[in-house]
Amino acid sequence: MIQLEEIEVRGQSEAGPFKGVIKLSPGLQVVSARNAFGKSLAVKAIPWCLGVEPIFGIQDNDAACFPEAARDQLELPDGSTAKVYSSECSITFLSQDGSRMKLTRPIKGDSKNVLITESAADGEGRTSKLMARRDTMQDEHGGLQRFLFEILKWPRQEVTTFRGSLSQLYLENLVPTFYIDQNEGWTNVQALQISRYGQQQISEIAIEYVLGAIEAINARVLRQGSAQRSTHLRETARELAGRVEKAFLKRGWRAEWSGNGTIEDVVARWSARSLREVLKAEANVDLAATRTRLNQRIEVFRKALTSGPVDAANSSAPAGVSQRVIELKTRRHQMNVELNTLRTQYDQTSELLTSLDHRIQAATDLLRLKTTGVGRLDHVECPTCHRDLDPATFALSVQSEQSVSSHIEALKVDRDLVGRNRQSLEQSLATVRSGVNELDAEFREAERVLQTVTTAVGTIREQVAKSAGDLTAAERDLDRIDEISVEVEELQGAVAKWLDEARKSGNLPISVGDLMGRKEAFVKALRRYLIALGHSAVRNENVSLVHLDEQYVPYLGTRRLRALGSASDQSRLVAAYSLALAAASETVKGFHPGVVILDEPLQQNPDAAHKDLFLAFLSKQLARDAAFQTVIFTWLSDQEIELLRKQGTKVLTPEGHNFLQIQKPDPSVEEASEATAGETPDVAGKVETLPKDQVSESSEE
Amino acid sequence: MDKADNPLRMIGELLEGRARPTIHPERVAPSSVYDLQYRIAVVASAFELHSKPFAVTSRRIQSVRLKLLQFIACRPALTHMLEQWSKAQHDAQLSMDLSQRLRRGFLADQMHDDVVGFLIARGELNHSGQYLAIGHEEHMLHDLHLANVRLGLFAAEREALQTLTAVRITNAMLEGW
Repeated sequence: MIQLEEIEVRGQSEAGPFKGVIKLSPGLQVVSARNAFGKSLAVKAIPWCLGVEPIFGIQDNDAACFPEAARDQLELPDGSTAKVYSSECSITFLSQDGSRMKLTRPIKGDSKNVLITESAADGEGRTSKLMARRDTMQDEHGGLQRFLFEILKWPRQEVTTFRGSLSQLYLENLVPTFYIDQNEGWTNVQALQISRYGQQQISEIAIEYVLGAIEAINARVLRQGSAQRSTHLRETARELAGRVEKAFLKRGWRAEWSGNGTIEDVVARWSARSLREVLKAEANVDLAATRTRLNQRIEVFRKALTSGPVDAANSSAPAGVSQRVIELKTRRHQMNVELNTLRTQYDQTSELLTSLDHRIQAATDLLRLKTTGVGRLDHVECPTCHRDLDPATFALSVQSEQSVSSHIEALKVDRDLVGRNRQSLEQSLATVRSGVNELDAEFREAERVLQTVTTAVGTIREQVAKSAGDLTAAERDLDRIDEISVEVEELQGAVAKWLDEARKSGNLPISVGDLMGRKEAFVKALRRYLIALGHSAVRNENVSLVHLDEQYVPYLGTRRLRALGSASDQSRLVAAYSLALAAASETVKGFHPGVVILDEPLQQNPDAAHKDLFLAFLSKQLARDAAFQTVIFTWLSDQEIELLRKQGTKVLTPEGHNFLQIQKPDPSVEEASEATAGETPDVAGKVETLPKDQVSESSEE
Repeated sequence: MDKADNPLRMIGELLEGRARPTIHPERVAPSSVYDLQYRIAVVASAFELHSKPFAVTSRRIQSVRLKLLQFIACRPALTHMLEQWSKAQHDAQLSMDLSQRLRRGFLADQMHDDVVGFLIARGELNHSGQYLAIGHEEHMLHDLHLANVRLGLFAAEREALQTLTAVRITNAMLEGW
């Protein structure tokens, strides 16, 4: 754990150099100053020097979170203003081993880098310049957050993003757990949490990290990864099944290869049979047997062409080739007729489907009309005789709501039926279309052979030409079968790869470690702080009902604590949550920095009762004896300050009109400054505003 | 002969007691096309969109035109055919290719005649020669159309009627030729 020792803001203005310093001590302390003094300016120096300005919703290296006094115009005590030329701020941390670390970052100027000045307890030191935002966690030599995590001995933590990739847990994800900002910090627990990086469940992970539940975070990340992989696997299965079906239909094969169902179902289905087996069983396509048969035919044709006997008296070759052309032409015609019939059926089915959709919509509207009563003629009377008119007199009927509902159900059944029919027709169309294409190719081939045979002179040449044509056709068929085999093998390879991936993403052994114990410590601390802060919905009788859900949202029984109590209880809940987290982290040896900053907790509800409750909390032992440092920036009246000091609570009251004050050129002060250079800072808890002649020793309790 | 090839024998066996009848009540529910309120809603929109000003404050429409329009509106899929039919009126060559499915079919829409009779008896419409004009309760059909528009009811029917405002419907077409 570390302690925030000093906050300093300084710079150059047209009225001269200016500076403001607040020195802090361990434990609980209240920094009290009037509104517009510059407390927020001092507080903002903390996230700025840590390089976590995105929590304020601003761009990297944009100092817009600071008031104008540090960026543009400095307000002087006489009411005039002075232009700011440059400014920077520093925060100093004191670690338990006595070493110090000072982080300095320009506010107006080049704010991309942070200057780190380390000094060990024995006086040795080093200085380094690190990048505040760019590659802050990735750059092991120049990244500020990387450096801070290492020096605080915090493990780097990978988390899952919504894009499916892994990201890091950044410091800006942790700061909202211990830094409560004046403007937005009090609206909810972790109100400043950064969720725009696409990290999944980052609020929960931040809490678990602060509690030191690294094993639970890893389990969470594994679960998220597994869920993402499952989604990806389901999508790829459907896509792969679509490719297979398309490849089958392209050749007119009707075989089912579905990617629907759970991953286990698909794995079982796809493991049971290969694509070739499915083709053989369902489409009667045996690629291996076809290949063997074609090879045998090629061998026969080749033998006939090269070494087989030729009968000079045989004149049947032209007739045979011609007959084949005629047969193919007839078959093509039949298939075209079938194709046209299917097209007509498909168009008509589509039309029917559109009509059914319209009928369903009309009936649904009619049901709505009957339900709402619009256009309903309940009482129909004759305008002449004023007697009631029964629609039945005109052979008309008014249907009941039940009747229309039944009709809608029947129409929906019909629509499903017709929809399936159209899907089947679509498949048939694809099958027949591919058959026509194949037949076309075969027909053209046969025509070419016929042309060759008819131009050949003599029966021998005719037979040779026919054999050559047959051989060429068979070889082309063999090439086609080889192409198909390659495609099927490629698809089978993709299926095998998918199956391998699916089997690997089975159930993972996931342990959450001692998460429950850590969470219990957090709940216990939260209960104590809620009672101590005086949350109106939580009393000693029901405090045992306070618990945290899986997202670490506080509940009282079955209701969210945020929805209970008065409006002012919201800030009590936020304060209790942050303080309890720090206390629990101390108990379970988590990764909390040991500093809690509460900026203007009283501004949320500045009524007397709220203030009294908060002052009562500050004087309680639970608040004063906490092992971590609590710094509260607010404004208290003189009586309240006196009361708190009497009760032993440290209250710091900075002197002067503003936090930032112009340094007057005083030679004696300069000499004194030179004489004290290199010494350890003033007594802890002192609030100092420079120049030193204005430092108030009385501000200490 | 195989049993499957002889459906009569198959039905006979089923009727001997091996078949268990199931009743689907939704199958006996009449179509919403035969509902009075549906037809009045469509007539209201057809009248609103296609009637012409008449006299000073009234509006009217040819009764056969209304019959054809509401027939198409109840079956929006026919809109395209009516458009083709209209285009083919002055093109003998084109009319050779035209589907004959629509033609005189709408003239046999007896239910529309009953609905019009009902609306006349109710005083919503007046019969004036070959025209139908709005009756003494002149706001009812208008209000009904506006309510349909406001609630988004029968959008397909209204869209079809809107499309038909740009289609020229001749007297020959109104007679079914």
